[in-house]
Amino acid sequence: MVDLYDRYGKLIFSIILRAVRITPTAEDLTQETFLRVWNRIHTFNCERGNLQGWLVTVARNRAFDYLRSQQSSACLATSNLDELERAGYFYSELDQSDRIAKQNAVTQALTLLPEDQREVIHLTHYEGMTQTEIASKLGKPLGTVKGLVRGALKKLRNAMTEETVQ
Amino acid sequence: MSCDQFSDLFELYAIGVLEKDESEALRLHLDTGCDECGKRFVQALMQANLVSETIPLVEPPTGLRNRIAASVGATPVIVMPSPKQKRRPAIVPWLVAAASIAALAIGIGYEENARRTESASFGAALEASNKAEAQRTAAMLSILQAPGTKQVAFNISESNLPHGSLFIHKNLGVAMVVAHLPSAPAGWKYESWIVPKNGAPQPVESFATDNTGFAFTVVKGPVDVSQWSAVAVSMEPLDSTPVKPTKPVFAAPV
Repeated sequence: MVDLYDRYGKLIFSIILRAVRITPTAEDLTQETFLRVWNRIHTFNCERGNLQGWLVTVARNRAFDYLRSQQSSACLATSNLDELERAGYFYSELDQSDRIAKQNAVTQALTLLPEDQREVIHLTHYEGMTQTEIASKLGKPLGTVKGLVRGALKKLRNAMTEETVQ
Repeated sequence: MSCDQFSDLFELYAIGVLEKDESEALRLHLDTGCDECGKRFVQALMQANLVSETIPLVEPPTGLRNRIAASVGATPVIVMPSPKQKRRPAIVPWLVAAASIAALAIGIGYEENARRTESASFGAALEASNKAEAQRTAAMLSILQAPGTKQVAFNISESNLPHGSLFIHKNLGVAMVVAHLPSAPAGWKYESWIVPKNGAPQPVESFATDNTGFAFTVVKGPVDVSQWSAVAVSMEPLDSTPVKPTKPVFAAPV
């Protein structure tokens, strides 16, 4: 368990802290994330699974779930969190170099996004906001926000696909 | 909705921020087993995770590591060195008690020099033991994640019995990961065994469960499991060096 934490603790804590912004809460959720994975590690499918991906999925879901509980947001689909977490270990990347190449491609694609597209990606992926919530926060029409999100995701998708092709 | 209508929704669904009606529609569609959309979802999840991983890293508070270790009962393991000890068990909480008694004896019965010497040994033993446990966990995780590892589940439909998986890698070894294993009764410990197709069971290591009923045991190094019939677990008297299984608990066929 401690070894798992030593490998991934910094990343997981950072993802959670970025979302919840409160250190003690991030500590609690980080602990919950590692316990959740540790207690289910006997279900890990080594042929299809990826531990880091699983942990990141669980961490993000724990953080977003916490934010929802604070906001009492009824419009969000919270019922499929377990399903998403199970899916978190249902992908496996080819190897470490492939993962790093994809990571670099996504990082570069993010930096190349126009400011407004990058902002909506941050709000969805780092802060767990729906498009409706983003529209409300930014004071923009929902259609505009959906367009920004769709455009940004398409660029990220293309960056991943091109990296896979190469 | 058709597959095409979901094409822009997978990423948001993967991070759980899709609006409720769209999320429900996509979930129902994925539940139909649509292969193409299933692949798109997995791809979207991978992409979402890569985006999450681009955030600037922040050093966690120093106490978090110990807090997480303590939460699974991974009390620092203290093993006093002994010339008679041929094989050191893996996780051995009972040794904490023994070591505490030893430490108490040190505190009340010895001269200062002796106490310093014993304290140094105690500290060295603690450090060595923690290091051994970390190496053991690292070995287990390496086997789980290595390309080419084969997985054999056991008792998986028996949620009330010890169940889990064997992870077999011909060069790295075998890791048995088990859930729902109750703590060994006082005076007993768990022992793992290789059960060959021919010949007597061979002891692997002593181990203990954490406070959630989770445990693992590792056979390190190259293995030829074609010669094995199972990896088994027994209960053994605490102070014994097992030669043959005393109280078999379960066996996981290879």
